[in-house]
Amino acid sequence: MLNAKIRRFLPYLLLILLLVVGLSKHNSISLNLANSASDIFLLIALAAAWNIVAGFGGQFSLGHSILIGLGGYGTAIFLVHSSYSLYLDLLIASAIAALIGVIFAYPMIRLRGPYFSIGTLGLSLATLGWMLNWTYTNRSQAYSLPPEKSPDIPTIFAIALVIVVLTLTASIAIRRSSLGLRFIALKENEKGAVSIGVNRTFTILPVWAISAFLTGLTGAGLAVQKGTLDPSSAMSLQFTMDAIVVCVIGGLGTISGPIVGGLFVYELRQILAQYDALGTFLEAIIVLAFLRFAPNGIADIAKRSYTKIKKAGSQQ
Amino acid sequence: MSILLQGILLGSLYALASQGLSIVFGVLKLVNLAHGAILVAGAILTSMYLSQHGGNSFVVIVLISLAIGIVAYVVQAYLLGPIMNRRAEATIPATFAIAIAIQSLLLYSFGSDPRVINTYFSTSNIKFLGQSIRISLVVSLVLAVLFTIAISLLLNRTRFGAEVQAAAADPVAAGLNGINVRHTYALVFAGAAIITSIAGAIIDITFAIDPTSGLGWLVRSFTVVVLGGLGSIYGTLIGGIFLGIVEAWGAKIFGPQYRDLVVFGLFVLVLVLRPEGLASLVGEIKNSSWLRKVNKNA
Repeated sequence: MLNAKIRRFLPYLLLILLLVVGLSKHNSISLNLANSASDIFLLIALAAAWNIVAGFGGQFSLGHSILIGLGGYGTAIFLVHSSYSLYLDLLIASAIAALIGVIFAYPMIRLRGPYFSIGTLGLSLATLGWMLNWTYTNRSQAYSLPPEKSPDIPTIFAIALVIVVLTLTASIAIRRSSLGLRFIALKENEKGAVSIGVNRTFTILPVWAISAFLTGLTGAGLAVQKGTLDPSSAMSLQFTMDAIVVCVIGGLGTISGPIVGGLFVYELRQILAQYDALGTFLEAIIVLAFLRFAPNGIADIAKRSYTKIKKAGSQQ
Repeated sequence: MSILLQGILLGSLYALASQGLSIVFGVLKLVNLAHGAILVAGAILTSMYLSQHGGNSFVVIVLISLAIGIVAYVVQAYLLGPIMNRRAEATIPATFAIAIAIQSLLLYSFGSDPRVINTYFSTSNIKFLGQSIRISLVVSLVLAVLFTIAISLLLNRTRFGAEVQAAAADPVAAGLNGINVRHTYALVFAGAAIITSIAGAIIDITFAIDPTSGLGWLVRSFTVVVLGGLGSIYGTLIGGIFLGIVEAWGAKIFGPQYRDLVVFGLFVLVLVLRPEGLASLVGEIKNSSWLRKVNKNA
């Protein structure tokens, strides 16, 4: 009984531990480490936020890059035009991303499978088309965050840490909640789920809102880290690609997938960075290899080899 | 008038670009997110070859598209096919990854500069109804119509077409009747890639294409396919021309910088309001009660 309870709360405890240790040490670690750790945290958070809708619900959104951009631009606009603190700006920007995410998702969720993907891709290109012409945010020119309000590297590390812990906690909570179970049921068997009383719209939209909020928050973190925004790079489809790569390699629809995948992809990119565009090519090939030969990712390979070893051990 | 003409000519380019996506969707039930990248590959490989080695542009276009077709056959038979059979939704990340792979390979090999194909008729114009029209656009209009008719004949009048339709309708039953479904699917995918890369080269005579243009062309093509009704060959031609006219009007009304916004906005609107396509409207009007009444009275 106690064992089961501990096991249930263990993931939360680990995340809280990570948060406490990270926050208490954030001023004493080296800047290099803080930088790369922030990169990893934000990559994992991006993938985990995308994983909530794409992995759990099978809705392969190709529009998460605009949510990243909205979070970033929202933060920048509030930093420039208001006197709120940075943290409040981050939250407001994410709330805006969540709201717009829901508004965009509402018509889109009527579409299924590939239609949904293409629909969100169309939306993201349309939004990009708008941002490139919007005078309020300097059109296609760079839009900078005020440097005096931008935090230093240890603070960015702390922000990224909070974002990733929040995202992972939300993932676990959704996966276990009745909302999440209904959401997964809609993917597995839509007719069956609806026939036993699952309301499709009111199940999908709240999950979308959470995913969009977390994606916006990640985008805000990325903007604070980078210090300047322009539409083509702040809403680049590269973010969607990142989420797909990390989740496919780590394990789509699992909690550990984005974490394992994020670490793997980050390390992979360190190695591939010397090859420039060819690195992206190799990355895409690796993703295809995973899809072809190990569709459930590293997490599944590890699990299967673990059971194999265990079996071999018990037979002796 | 000039806008209508412009729209039709532009639309013929779109129809040409979308035919491959439409076939693959109709037969394989596969939304090929790498469609735009294949188009761009056809355009850039052709323009690079022509600028470095020269030669008859039409021969080069055909040869390069055939080479792309062979690669596409292998990709479908050994990579996408098995992924499709295991989990249909896994084709979304798979074709997206193929698109990124093609794009980054082109970027690595040829850089990010936009390319144009120079042929002897690239810049020449003819007069039609008092308007001067680029010959390259007339070529694309002729090709779009010819391709549409040829594909329709191939699918409806030949043994191969019958096999393709059987494999599309019920792959398992088709397999039991001795049709090699894997081979048929791969041939269809390769054929679509050949048409798409020819389309890419034709487009590249009129518009500059760079390695990252693929996603824009993908969404444009998909708009056309959705407008024309998914998987309908003639619908694609009509959808393309419709989109061309709308874009020409939109650019005139809102200004040319909002071109993309008009196209993608229209796309989202159609997808949300009429995912079965505009072509189905025609059928609906035909079957609607008032028209039947009119027919009965006549």
